[in-house]
Amino acid sequence: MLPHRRHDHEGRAELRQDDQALWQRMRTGDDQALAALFHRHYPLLYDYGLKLIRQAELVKDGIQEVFAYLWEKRATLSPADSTRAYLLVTLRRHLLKALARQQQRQESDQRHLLAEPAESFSPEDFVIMQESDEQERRALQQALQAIPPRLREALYLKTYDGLPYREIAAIMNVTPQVARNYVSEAFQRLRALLFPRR
Amino acid sequence: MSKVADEFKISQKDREMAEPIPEVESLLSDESFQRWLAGAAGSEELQQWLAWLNARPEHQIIYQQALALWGKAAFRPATLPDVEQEWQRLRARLALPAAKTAALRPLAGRRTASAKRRLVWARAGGLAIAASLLLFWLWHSLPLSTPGPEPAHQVVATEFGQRARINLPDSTTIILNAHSSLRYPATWHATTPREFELQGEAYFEVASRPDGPQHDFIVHTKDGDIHVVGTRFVVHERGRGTRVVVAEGGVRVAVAEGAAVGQGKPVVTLLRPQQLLEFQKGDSVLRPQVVNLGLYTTWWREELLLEDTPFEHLVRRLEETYGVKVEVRDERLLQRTLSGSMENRNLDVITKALAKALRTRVVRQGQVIIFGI
Repeated sequence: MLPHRRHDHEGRAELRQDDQALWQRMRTGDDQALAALFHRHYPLLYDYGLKLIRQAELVKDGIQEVFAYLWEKRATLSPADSTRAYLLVTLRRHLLKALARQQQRQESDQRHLLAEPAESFSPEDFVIMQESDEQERRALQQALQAIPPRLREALYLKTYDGLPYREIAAIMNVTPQVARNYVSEAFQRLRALLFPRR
Repeated sequence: MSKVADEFKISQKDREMAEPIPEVESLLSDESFQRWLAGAAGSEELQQWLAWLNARPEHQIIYQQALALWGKAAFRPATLPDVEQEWQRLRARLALPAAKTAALRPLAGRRTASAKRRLVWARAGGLAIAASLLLFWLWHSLPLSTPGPEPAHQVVATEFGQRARINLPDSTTIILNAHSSLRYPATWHATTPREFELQGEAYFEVASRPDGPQHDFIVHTKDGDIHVVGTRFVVHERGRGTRVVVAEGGVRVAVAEGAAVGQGKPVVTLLRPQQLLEFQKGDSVLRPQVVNLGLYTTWWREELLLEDTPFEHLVRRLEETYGVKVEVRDERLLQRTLSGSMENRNLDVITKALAKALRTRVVRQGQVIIFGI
């Protein structure tokens, strides 16, 4: 009675095929395919990047680097299972490196290397923060801040475009089961926060 | 294959037995359920979830809780930079030929809305060497008197109480609601820019173009432009601003400039599934809301799906769709909300079902419908 699982349901499966066809064409040197991939994935890449590091110029440059890399290495790239996840994880690595370099210059501290900053996927960016008044906001802000950034990131990837766990897993470098635990725990904490049981 | 789903699996046989009601979190962690909430479930999957929903009243309650939590967990989308400008930057850096990518360029953003509209059709002119099979599309539209080769376009308009289904050659489907009109290119081939002018309301299911960009599909209203990133959405423009609701994928909304032209950057925002945006020409701040899709995106179905839909919303919809005047004598009724499904056949069937659900009476006097007598 309950929905049986079909990963390849209509629309999304089609999109992935499109992506794979474009990826294939891009690898053979078709710049129109590169253009199509760029336009198609730009909104998610930019939105994700900005939530990860909160510096628009760095994100815009990062996306340029990702696609330039893609084009320059096209001959040696393997077929990607999910183009979207590949692009996101490449951007993520690039941005965290760029941020680490920036911080090293400032405080020459290498411990921050490749760790995402605490302000990633900031509570301010939650829709609920826009809906609440000043007083509620301060309380919410504190409570949301207590949810670890990695959980907030998993929640973001899930609610932005319903990314499947295996893609979130690839982006965050964990197993799909861990990705699922992240999302589940984030929802649990959010519920405890918003709808406390009497 | 998820373990969670098995926990709340219902079979005909054991329905009477008390199977456990899932926790909101485990439901929300289920990928199939997530697809359903995001409006991305396949039709079979959708049917199965609806059956689950109707199997027990507890499921309705937990569904509502899950939906509320999902909405609250969403992040506000960032305002997108000019993607085309960014693409040109990359193109220059990689020394790619300009000519081949020219077809990808969206319309220039600095022109005023009306000038832009004329240009939309002019632009398509260069591409008007349509496949001969499509030439028959041309005969029912008159050539325009403006200079230069302009392709024909066609207009589909509906009366009150009518709906039109438009199937485009690229397998995009549009359902035009009552008392609405849509203007679009009459010729159609792989590279024709897909541009539409809408008055009234329409539901769009946009076919993706494997060879082309997704963003070439644009709906114009008097308040601005809606650039399509993904697939299913509704646009509504009936003289009080434009409303866009996204069911799947995403759209980018660019607000038309108001009287004070040329001030600062164009106002643009990206809308994602379950987001609703109301805007007017000249708006400088956009506030998308997260909503239950319900009626917003399903008014064209044979069965209306209501999810906490305010009666007031239904009243407005009846007036817009059937051209009647609806009077509600008992004002408290307007605040009531309705959930469930309802046959969407004709005005009489709908008003009677509504009266029954609200436990009130309805009478029709010509073009006036009176509730709550």
